[in-house]
Amino acid sequence: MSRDNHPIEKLEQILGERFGIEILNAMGIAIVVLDPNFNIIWANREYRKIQEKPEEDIIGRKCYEISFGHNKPCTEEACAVRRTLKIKKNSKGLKVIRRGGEEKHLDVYSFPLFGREDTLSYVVEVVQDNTQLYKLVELSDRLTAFASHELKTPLATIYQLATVLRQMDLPLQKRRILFDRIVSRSQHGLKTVENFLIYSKIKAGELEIIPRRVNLYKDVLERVLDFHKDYTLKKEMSFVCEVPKDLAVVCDPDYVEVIYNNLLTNAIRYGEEKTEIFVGYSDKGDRYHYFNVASISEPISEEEREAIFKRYVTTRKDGSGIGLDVARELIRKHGGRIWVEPCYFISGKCLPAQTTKQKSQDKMKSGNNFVFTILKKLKEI
Amino acid sequence: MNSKAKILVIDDDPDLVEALKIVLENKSYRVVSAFDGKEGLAKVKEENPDLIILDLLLPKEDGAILCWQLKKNPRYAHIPVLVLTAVAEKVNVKLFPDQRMSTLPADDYVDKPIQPEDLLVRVDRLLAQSRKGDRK
Repeated sequence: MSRDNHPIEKLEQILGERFGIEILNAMGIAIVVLDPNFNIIWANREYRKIQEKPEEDIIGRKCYEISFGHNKPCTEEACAVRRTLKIKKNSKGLKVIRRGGEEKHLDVYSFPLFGREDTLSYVVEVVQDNTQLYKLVELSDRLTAFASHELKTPLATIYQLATVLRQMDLPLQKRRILFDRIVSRSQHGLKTVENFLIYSKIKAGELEIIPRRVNLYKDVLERVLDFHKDYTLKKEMSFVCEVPKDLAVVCDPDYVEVIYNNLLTNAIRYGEEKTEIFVGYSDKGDRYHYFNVASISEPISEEEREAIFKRYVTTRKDGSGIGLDVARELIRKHGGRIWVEPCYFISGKCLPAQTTKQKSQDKMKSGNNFVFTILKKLKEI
Repeated sequence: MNSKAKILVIDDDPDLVEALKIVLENKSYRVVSAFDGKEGLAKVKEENPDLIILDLLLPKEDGAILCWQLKKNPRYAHIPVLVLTAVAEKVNVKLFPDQRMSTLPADDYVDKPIQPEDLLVRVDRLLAQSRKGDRK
C-alpha cells in the first residue's frame, strides 16, 4: 500500500466520517482500536454492549482492565493483541469474560496497523461474541453423551439376555422369559429413540401437534398402562387409574402418549416397590383438563422442583434428563403446563401436601405428584 | 458341593438380574436379588448369602461403597464378592492393585456382558476358596 494511502490514515478518515462510524457501530461484530500500550482509543457500539460499559468507561482505559479487571496485560498465550504487538502480524484467540454472572465466549482477531516509519501504531481487535454458538456446541455434546448412555443401557441388557439365550441349553419356559424381556427392552429402547427424535424436532422448531377428539382412556391410556405393566410387575407395583373411561379430550393422542410414557417411566423407576401409582384426572371447571401421575417416592426438594423440567437435569444418576423436558414442551403445545408437587397417600388416595394436616402427614407415605394441564378448547385439525 | 449355595445378585437392572438368575439357577444355585445398595445390605443381613454378585453403579448406595462396607465388617468380610464391571465404570473405580487409587476389596471381577460359562467358573472357584477358608 502506498504511503499516500496509509491504512491508519484511511481508518482515521473512515472513523472521522459520520457515515463510516455509523456503519462500524451498526455491525454486529465488536471492533476496538488499541495503541501499543493496550490503551483503548476507540470502540464501536457492539464492543460497549459486550463489555456492558458506557463509552466514557472504556476509552483511554487498558483493554485488560476492561475485560478482566486486571492491572497487567494477559499472557502472550492468552492474548491475541499481545501476540500481534510482538510478531506484528494478524493473530487470533479466544477470550472468556464474565458479565452478570454469565460467561461470554469471545472469538478475537487482531490486526496490526503500521505508522509512517513502518512502526506498529495501532492494533485493531475484532471481537465476535460466540457465546450462543459455544453453548449450542456444549448442548450438542451433552445430548450426544446422554443419547449414547440412554441407548447403551437397553442395548447392553438385550445383548446380555441374548448371550444367555445363545450359550445355554435352557428349558422352553426359561427361554420364553428371556425372549419376552428382549422384546420389552427393545420396545423401551425404541421409546427412548422416539423421545430423542421429538426432542430434535422441538429444537428445530418443527414440532406440530394434530389435535383431534379422542377417548383419552381407550385411545391413549389403556395402551400406555398395558405397555408399562411388565415393569410395574417387576417392582410389584400396580396402577390405580381414576381417569374416567368416557373422557373425551381434544389432543394429539400420539404426543399425549409420549407425555404419559415419560411420566410413568419416572414413576416406576423412582417409585417405591410394592406400592401403587396413581393416574388421575380432575375438572376444576376452568379452561383446562387436569391430569396427574403420582407415586410413593423420595420427595423432590423444593429447589429441584423447577430444575427437573430443564433439559439434561436429573436428580438421579440413571435418568437422562430429557423425558420431562420433552413432556413439558409437548404439554406447552397443548396450551397447558406441568409441575410437580409433594403429596401424601392414604387408603388408596393421593392427597396434595397442602391439604393434609402436619400431624396426619407423619402417618402417611409421601411422594411426588406430577400434574399437567391441557387446554379444553384446542382447535381440531 | 456348591449346588445349594445361596447367591445374592445386587443390580438395579431387573432384566440383567433375571438373566443371571436363569444362568445360576440352571446350575442349581439358590438366587436372591436386590435392586439397590440399601436393599442389598439389608438382604446380606437377612439372607446370609454364600456369595454376592455386585454391580457397581447402584441407586441409593453405590456398589463400591457397599463392597467396602461388607469387607470392613467382620461379620460379612468372609462372603466372596464378585463385582460386575462395565467399561464406563472402570473409568471411575480402580479395581486392580497396579492402578494408583485404592483398590476395591472385591474377590473377583467379571465383565459385562457376562459370558455364562465364565460366570459359572468364577462363582465355582470363589465358593470353593471360601469353603477352604472356612475349614482353616
